[in-house]
Amino acid sequence: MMRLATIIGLFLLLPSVDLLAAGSVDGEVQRQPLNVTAIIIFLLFVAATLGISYWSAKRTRNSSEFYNAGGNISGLQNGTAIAGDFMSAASFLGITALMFSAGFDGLVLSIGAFSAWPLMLFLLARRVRNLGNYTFIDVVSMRLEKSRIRYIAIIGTMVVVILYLIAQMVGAGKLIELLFGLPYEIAVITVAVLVIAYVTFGGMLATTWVQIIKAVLLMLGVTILAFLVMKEANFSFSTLLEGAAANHPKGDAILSPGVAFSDPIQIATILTSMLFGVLGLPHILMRLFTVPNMREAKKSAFYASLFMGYFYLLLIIVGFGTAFLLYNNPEFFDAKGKLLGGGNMAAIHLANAVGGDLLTGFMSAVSFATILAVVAGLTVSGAAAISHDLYAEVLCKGKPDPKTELQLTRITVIAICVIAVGLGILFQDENVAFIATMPMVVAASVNFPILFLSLFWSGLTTRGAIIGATVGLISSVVLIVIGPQVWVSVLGFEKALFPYNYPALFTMPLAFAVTWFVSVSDRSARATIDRQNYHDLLVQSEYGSTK
Amino acid sequence: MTKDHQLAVIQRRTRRRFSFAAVALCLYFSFALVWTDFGSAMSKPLGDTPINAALLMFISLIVIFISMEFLFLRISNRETSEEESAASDKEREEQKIEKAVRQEPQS
Repeated sequence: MMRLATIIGLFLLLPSVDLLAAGSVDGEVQRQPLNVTAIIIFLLFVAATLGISYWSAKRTRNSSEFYNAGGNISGLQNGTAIAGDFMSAASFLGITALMFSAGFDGLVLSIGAFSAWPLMLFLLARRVRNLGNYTFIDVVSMRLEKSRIRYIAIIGTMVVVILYLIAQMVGAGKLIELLFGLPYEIAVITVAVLVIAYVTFGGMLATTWVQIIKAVLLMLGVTILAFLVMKEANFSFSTLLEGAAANHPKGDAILSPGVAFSDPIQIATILTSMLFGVLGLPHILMRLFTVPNMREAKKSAFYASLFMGYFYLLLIIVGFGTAFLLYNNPEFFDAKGKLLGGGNMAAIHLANAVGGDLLTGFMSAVSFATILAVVAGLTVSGAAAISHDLYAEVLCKGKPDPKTELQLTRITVIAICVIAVGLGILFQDENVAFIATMPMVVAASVNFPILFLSLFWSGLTTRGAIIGATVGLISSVVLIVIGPQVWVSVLGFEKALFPYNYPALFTMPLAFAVTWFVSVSDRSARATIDRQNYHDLLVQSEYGSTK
Repeated sequence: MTKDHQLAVIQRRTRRRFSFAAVALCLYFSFALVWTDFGSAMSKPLGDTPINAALLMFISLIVIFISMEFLFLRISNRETSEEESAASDKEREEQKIEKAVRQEPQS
């Protein structure tokens, strides 16, 4: 049971690679033979993206161009890039692995990852785009006391970015070891060096194009895979499901809920963390500023949904396809009956079963490319929090020297990547399931409440936002520590003090409640100003800048 | 556009926004019901196929969410276009009046 919890923990950070899985981070990794096809395809991807970085570097001359590609990305391009940032190797490998072992229950992760996007369009896209310049912190600091609220929002952003990066790097190292047969340290350093090359020179423009190319490749790969699986099932969905149930050790049970999860509250905790976590992820929110206006921002959210909806629908075929085509094929299992390379290899083995070495190499290369795209997006976001939000807006009071700011941004990118490599190597033998959980829970309990309330509630005050966010952060960390992932799996206690791995269902409402209570009881002079500022912010959020 | 009119438009948009979000959230969290006793009926195969209502619900949720987004965008874009055209009509009207006022003293 605990092992399952760990596995699920790793799956949960779907937008990233970390989740990669189950086996990869908990010691089940078996390094695969050097995959030459995968390496050749990956090198082609690297050559193309480095070319794009060179092209982007010529167009990235100032901080604005660095943070948001000058705001010149179209809605379609940005939607594709968002999908590229979000549909990770974890989505592809992790959900497929869970469906391979538990069937229908894997779909809860698909719906969780997908459903944030309608909410992003309905609630946030227009107002966030109209109010911010580069980061979501611009938005929350607009009507509140700028320095103090920026500090707390920067802490929220950096906690999410660093934890996300650690989980990414550990997952990346293990995944690349698994897929390509490269040593862990080389894999982690390769990721960091490539990301430095993309981001330092090409900024958000290069990052966007890396994500677009990766999204297209991933969708192409999954489409081919699903088509070939359906061909094996004579293009009959019923045949596919019947075959999956017939071959899977758990039989018909995999077609229904209940194999991996049985507690509806547990499902609710996962759904809450996934949905509201995504709405508070700084690197995802930052993408709304790369388009020229709010109309394109809304289009971005719609196109992102469209691509992700298509992708997650195809994963039904791929997921059940693994049960249909792998369980009856002993060449994919070792002597003990375990899948070669661990659970995460299910999708890759499926590619081998239906498409041979070429498709296996292609899907492996796409999985590696995915890591680069996600880490690049996170790095831009972390760099913007330091150089724009902290240096330019707080320390220089909004009047920085542009050249120094750009230099600082590039130095920050390198520093973030070096830290990520260090922490990735440091944590390589640790159970990082809890680290993978934290970013989503923190984003849902810290970033989302202050962003949402600053946009929609006139009564929010600086004091309320700071205390609410602090309570959200502390409660998230405490409940994760006393939950099964840390209290039992890491610290070795027999029973967890808190029964759920993903406490956002409890910590997010707590953060909202504390923010509300402190704000309504705040009688300070600053609180009056904060409340008065709401009207101007409201008009600007709907009609754009009034300047 | 007067201040009152602006606020009325914002209120209307906010109501629409929250209505769409509320429907999406209800549908989203209703997915958890398939793991309860109440939802166990959804696990039974439909007719002669192995497909069950829970699987159909998953597919429907994705399709419904995308359709809702499309509808939301259409309404929102139409409203923005109407506002822009009303604003430009008003601007043209004001220009006409201004021109007429300027010509009057000459005649």
